[in-house]
Amino acid sequence: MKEFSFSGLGTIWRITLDSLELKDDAKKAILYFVKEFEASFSRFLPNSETNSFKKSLAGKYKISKEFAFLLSEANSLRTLTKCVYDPAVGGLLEMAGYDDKYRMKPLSNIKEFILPKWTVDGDIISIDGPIAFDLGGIGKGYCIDQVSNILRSFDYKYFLVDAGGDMFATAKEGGAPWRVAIEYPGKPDLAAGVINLKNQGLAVSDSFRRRWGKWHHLLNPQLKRPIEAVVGVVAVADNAFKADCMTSALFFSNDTQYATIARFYNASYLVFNSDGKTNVSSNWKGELF
Amino acid sequence: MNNRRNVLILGIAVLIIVLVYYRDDLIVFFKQSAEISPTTNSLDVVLPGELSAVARYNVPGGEGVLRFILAVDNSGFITNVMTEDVLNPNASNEKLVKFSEGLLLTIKGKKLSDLKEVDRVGTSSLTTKAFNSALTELKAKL
Repeated sequence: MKEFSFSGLGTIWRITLDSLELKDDAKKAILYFVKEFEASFSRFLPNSETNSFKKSLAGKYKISKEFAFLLSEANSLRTLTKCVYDPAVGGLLEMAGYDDKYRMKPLSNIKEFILPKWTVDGDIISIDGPIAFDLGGIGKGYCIDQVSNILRSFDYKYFLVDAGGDMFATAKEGGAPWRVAIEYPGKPDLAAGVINLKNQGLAVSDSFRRRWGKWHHLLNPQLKRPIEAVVGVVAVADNAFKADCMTSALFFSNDTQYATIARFYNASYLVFNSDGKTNVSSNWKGELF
Repeated sequence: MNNRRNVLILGIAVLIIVLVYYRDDLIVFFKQSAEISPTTNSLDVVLPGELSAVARYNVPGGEGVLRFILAVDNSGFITNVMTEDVLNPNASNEKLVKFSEGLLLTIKGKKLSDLKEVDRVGTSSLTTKAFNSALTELKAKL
């Protein structure tokens, strides 16, 4: 197997091809796309499109087709989670200290944060004032799928695209699946289980890695505090974007909503709760330890 | 425990088959029953949006009776499943598991180093150097 590794979206990407080596033109195309995507949608880059409304007045604005698509999907996720997930949470994350300067200290007036209102219609966004978007819950999955599309456009058929633990995998040449262990949330030397991926996306998220004091990066914008009932989630779906959306939904919803959300994304999932119990979807196909 | 578990699985399978087959009728039923005031003291009354069935089974020393309660949304999909020990409704029973769509398990985990033939490990993304540096600096100030 041949591997191509690079940095992007704040993590290490590893693209593995089963039997072939990635040609230079394909590498360039992938690097270019990921760099452009990060420039457009990173919350930590001041000139990104997601940061372009931080000082805007209320009104309607034209946005790029890609941003419009992502916000439209984010709106679906917002509806599914009854508005607990909302990409307009960027301002709250900054007030909590997770800003581009990594202050790592919440502001004393964080409880005064008011979640901005927004809607999207085609490529027109309507906002009620300044707004900072964070697409951290869905952007990487989308980017993984676009990289996979680039590989297919260069006629690569058997590959695994791993972006820091979230991934999409085709079959291996010969038809076998890729065998993926799932890290136990908060216990990096343990595996919670193993799953076979074949033309599927996998997303994994937990609240342990991006933690500072009592805070971490998964905040309830209505309660203005970190989510603590759930500590880790895993999702498998038809592609990496759906899996990424599903993990975000699982953190920002409760167990009475999981079934509806899983049907929407056609996903299977694990939810690791803070009490030590794990919700396992009825369609989960992996092995658990 | 195995006998009760088998009854549990069989009861749920029967209810699911009933729900799928009579889905359209059930939607009409739930709409009509929206006016009914629920009571909780009778085993025969079904609360709006819920279906229940009682299963009896033999165990050494007597008989067990389990009530299966399925919460069903307006589209006929099961949103929650509960079981009740009918003969001991007030007794807490760790073996009766409430689950919404799947199972609630305790996963112990296995050492990654003991796993064989793993192509990848799915993890949450590692933090960046900038994040780690800021965190180190923050901890030093505490």
